[in-house]
Amino acid sequence: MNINFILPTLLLLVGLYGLVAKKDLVQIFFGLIVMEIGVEMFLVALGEKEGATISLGLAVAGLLALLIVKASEKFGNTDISKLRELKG
Amino acid sequence: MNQLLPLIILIPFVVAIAMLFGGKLSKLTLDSFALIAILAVASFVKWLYLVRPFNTLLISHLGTTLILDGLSHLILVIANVLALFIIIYATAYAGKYANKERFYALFFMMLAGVNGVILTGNLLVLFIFLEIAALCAYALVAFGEEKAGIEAALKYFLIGEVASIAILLAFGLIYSITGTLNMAEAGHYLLTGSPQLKSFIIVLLISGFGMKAALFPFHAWLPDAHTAAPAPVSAMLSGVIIKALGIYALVRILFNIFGLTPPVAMVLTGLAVVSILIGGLLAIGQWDMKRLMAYSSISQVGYIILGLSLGTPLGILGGLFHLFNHAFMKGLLFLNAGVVERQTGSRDLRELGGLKEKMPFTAFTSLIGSLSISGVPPFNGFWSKLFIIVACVQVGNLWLAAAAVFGSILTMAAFLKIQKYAFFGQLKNKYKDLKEAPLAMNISLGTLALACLAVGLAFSLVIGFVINPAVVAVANGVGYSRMILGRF
Repeated sequence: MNINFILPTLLLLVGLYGLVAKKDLVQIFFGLIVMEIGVEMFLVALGEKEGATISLGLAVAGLLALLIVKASEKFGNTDISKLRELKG
Repeated sequence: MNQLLPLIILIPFVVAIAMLFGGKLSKLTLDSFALIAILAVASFVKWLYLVRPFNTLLISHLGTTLILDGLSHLILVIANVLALFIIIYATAYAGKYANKERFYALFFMMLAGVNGVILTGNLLVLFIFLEIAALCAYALVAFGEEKAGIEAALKYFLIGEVASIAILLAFGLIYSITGTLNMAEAGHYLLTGSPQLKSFIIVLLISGFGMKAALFPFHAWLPDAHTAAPAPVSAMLSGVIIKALGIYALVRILFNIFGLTPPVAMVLTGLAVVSILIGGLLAIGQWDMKRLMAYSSISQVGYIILGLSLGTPLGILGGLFHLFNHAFMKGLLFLNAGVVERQTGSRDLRELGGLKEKMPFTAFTSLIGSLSISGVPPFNGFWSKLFIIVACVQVGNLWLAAAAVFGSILTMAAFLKIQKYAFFGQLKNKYKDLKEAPLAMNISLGTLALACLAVGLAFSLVIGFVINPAVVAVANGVGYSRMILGRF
């Protein structure tokens, strides 16, 4: 276990915390992005050379940002505890 | 023949790109273009059965390794044939959305992703196609741009991306052990390697693909996403996406690359049984038609995984046959719910009633779908559930068999609820002028209903031609990599 693996692991955990514990969609967005960067750094540390996953990360971030903008337009805020359209 | 394999991915991909430039064209042109394209892919996939001798592999090395064996062929047929019926249905349904070309573009891109996941022999390529299909699925759930759709899409997105991250991490760890991302080679090197790390990878894989397949306890996104999506998308999600991205990928990697060990099988069996019971119980309590069906999907995924996790040939046969049947009957039921919603404007069972007087054809196909999924002979669901239950008894675990039977009763209760409240009973005054659905929708419903009955009657033929090659491929286990590496 060297430094190359400690940083990605930390990023993963920080991102997961943001994803699980935060209520605001923008904070969740950054949690997910940080997690993704953690995994990508992990892959780089392992010596994976292909860059495809990084460009996929961009697409993921783009679509999520779009959804969050749409949600804030429709619901008037970005607090997930206020998104209560679906029940059951 | 091998050189033609990439077409299965390329045709939907090219159609998706072309659709984006089709904004100016009339809806009729777009519809016919989509129909011709999907018809071409679906017939090509079926035609491959005629030219591929039993249990042989087709391998293409054009750019990336594509492998067609029995299991991928089964899932490929399910995905593309169901997509054909969904497109026929969508020509009438998607009419209510202004930008139809975007709907088709997303749909075909999703299909290209699904076909890519099924065919590829490389873990990284599998991940990329999985992400393409999943991103299109998130966007399609939000396609109506209603509040519920966007909320469901966000939920689906966040859970799905956590799953993707777990999967990517697992693939990275596989790469760190084996030094390769080729599935067959990875399988060869994974025969040795530290058991702790391998267990960790398997945990990541089960949670990652479990989320994609909506296996308990990773099912939270499914009821919302399937309920809020437009009906053709719900049918595609339930019939194809959870199976191709979730079950297929899980089975391919756990069975063929890692090899199913008894502890892993036990975990899968446990999750499957809980899925069957929780999904069935929650389904009965729902009043929203599509939500009820969505919970039932969780239960049926449980059946599929239960059969597969038993590991015996009969269990695998039952699981894969149920996968095949569930795609068609749940596709039929979701499309049916879409018809009801389109004609009445509601999917709340408390508001509906007596629809069979005004919409006899819809009521009839819904009845066939409900009987199939409840496992009533002679429909297809009966045989697959029977195989799974017999396989449970065969391995000597009567509790599993009892849970499977009980789950079947729960499913029947849930779908009788739909029949009772939506189609039978007193017709409400506001539905006096109700009409049947457009012809395109009825063609699609009728063919799927006929398929449910035909597969039930000719089940031995279907098993012989379509299911058995897949059973051989799954039961082959880690022999997969030897079989493929032998061809290099």
